Amino acid sequence: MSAYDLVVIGSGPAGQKAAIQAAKGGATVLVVECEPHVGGACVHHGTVPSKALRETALSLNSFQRRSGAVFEVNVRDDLQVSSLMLRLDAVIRAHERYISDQLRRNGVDVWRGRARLVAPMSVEVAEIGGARPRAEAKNIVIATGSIPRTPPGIPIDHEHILDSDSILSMRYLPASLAVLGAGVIASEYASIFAALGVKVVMIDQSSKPLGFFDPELTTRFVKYLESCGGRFRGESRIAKVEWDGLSEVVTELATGETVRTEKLLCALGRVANLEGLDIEAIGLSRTGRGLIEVDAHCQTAVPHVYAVGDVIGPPSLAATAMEQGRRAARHAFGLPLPSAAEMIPLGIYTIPEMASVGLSEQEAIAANGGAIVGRARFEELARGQIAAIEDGLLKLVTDPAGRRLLGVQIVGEGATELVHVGQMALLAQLEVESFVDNIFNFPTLAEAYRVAALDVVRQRREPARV
Amino acid sequence: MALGDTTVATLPEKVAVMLRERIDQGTLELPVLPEVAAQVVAATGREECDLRALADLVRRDQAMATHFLRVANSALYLPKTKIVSLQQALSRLGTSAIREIALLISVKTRTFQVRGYERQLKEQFRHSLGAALFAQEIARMRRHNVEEAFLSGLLHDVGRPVLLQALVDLHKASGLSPESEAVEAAASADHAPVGAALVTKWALPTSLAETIRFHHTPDRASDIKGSMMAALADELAHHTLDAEPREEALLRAHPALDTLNLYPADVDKLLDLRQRVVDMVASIA
Repeated sequence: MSAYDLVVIGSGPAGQKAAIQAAKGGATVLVVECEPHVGGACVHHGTVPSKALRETALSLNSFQRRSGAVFEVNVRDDLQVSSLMLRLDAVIRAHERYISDQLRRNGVDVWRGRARLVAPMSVEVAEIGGARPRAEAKNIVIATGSIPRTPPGIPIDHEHILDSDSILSMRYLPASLAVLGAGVIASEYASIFAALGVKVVMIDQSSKPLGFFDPELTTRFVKYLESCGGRFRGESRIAKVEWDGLSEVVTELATGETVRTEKLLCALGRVANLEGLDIEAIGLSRTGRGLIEVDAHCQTAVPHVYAVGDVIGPPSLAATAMEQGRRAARHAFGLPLPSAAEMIPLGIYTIPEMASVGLSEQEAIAANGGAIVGRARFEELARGQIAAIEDGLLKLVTDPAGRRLLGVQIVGEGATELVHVGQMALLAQLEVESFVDNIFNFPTLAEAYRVAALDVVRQRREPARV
Repeated sequence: MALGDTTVATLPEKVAVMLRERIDQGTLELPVLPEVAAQVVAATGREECDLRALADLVRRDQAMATHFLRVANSALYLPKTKIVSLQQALSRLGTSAIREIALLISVKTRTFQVRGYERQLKEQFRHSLGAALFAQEIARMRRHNVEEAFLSGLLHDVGRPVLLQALVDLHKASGLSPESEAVEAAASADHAPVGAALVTKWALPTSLAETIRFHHTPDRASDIKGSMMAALADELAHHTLDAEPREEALLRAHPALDTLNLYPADVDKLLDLRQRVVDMVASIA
């Protein structure tokens, strides 16, 4: 039997970083991955493939806007989804190669198979050929990620009614698509397919999509969706979903209304992927939401077992998962722990992009009794006008005196990149004046920071908003 | 395209030469089963045409499905979108066009006349449907395209009935009595390239032609996963529906399992579907 200092189950962003961190610290490490290649759902079903499709949709969309009347850009009727992701295979292969090389360089072993916890320090790996080798582990990191939630009453068949793991298996663009949900995945796919000319209808119980985001930003997202012929049907309870056996998926709402579409995407959340792992065998249990409970170091109730990434629940972001992996490994091997990152930026790859760091306007008002918010609309920026990025908005949220920066919210092309300027300013505790006194390249979208800061300065003379 | 030497040697020379000519000239035909054509005519003739039942007839019959896709993509209907799957055709064409195409195929297409080979023909159709049902389940498991998988399972052996009809016709035209073993061997030997060539000629999706061509040699395909899926579905259908089923051990050692990342537990789930497949095939074929 093989023995390792650390066995990591799962090779997504959290698992990879845990393995690399432990190996760099001198530990012997085994990664168990049930798929033929490393990378996890992030590379194969989620983040990378959806962003590849988004990039194509965005390029078509941008070209259409930027070319004005010079070129007419129409999405061909016979456009195949696969032809929109021609670069995807290359992107995935490159990503896999990068991860594999990194694991190999650091001396990490990788076994392909399905892991099961058979004893507190023993992991059994069921291989495709039927063999079941075991590995002894001084420490274990569970990084098995998540799978789409299948709500009762929604008969997902991956043919007419799809989930976020099967949506990109579509070969042709449907004429219409219902998207159940109002979260990140639902909003991203809704806007991508709407941009590609699919008639999209988002349906959810909530009154607006992305409820955790600044409503001023999400309003712009809904406006974009509507400009593409789509719509958001909020406050709608779903009574039944079924394929009519011939040509349409019928979504019946609690009001009795029906929505008929060619395909349906169910994006009503994800659940921890713990099937077959048998965590109960080593004394672990699941929370009411099916997650593994951990402390600040991602340590579970069993001290030598850690859990990281989507199996421990929100925020379920790749960047956060990587950090959790690193921290778990450092804690397991007694390596010094850096202070926990407080400023976690949030990026959503809708069209248009949305990003946030620090406090929102509402949070700042609640915390400080008021706030001054500086706004920069991208249509006022030279770069915005040149690049026809006119639907963007950057908000600088400050204290009631308009001095201390508390948060940044952005909607518009480049938001997920631009937000890092705000993140660094927040970490450095810079005052609003820093954006006014310093020089930004011209023409850039980053000038939005200066424009918004000047707006804050202007408002200092006015009473703070309460 | 040339016939394999073994095939030529076992067929009467005259028949072998004529068959080669038909293959080379692309004049092979895919008839429809007379009873299915009759069912379609009856269904479309009713005042209250049950479109779902009609669609099921089309979906589950390799000849009807092939012709449906061919006609749906033809100049007659000039679809705005290239039709790549049966479901897409059914969703986009509208009810009157579905009725019209199904009826058109049933009355205009030649029906099979393979006296003495009726049982083999029926078995081929049953096998194709079985493979289609297994292929779609494999696709569901692996989150591949289900519509494409079903179609590739349904049409993977489409060359067999085509060759069978041609061989029966050619023997008849030559005044020769077909020798059962030679006919079956010839229909079997070249069914993959012949099926692929026909699908290409009818402008059906190129990925489908590739899957048909390589379903016995999937490692040679550019889309290895698609061809492996058809190959595994083929094996599962043989294991489930053949009078003398192939051994389960062959299935559990199939090379597609590694390519498709199917574990023993997944194979168990596929094998659990056997009775359902048997029932579905029995209900329509």
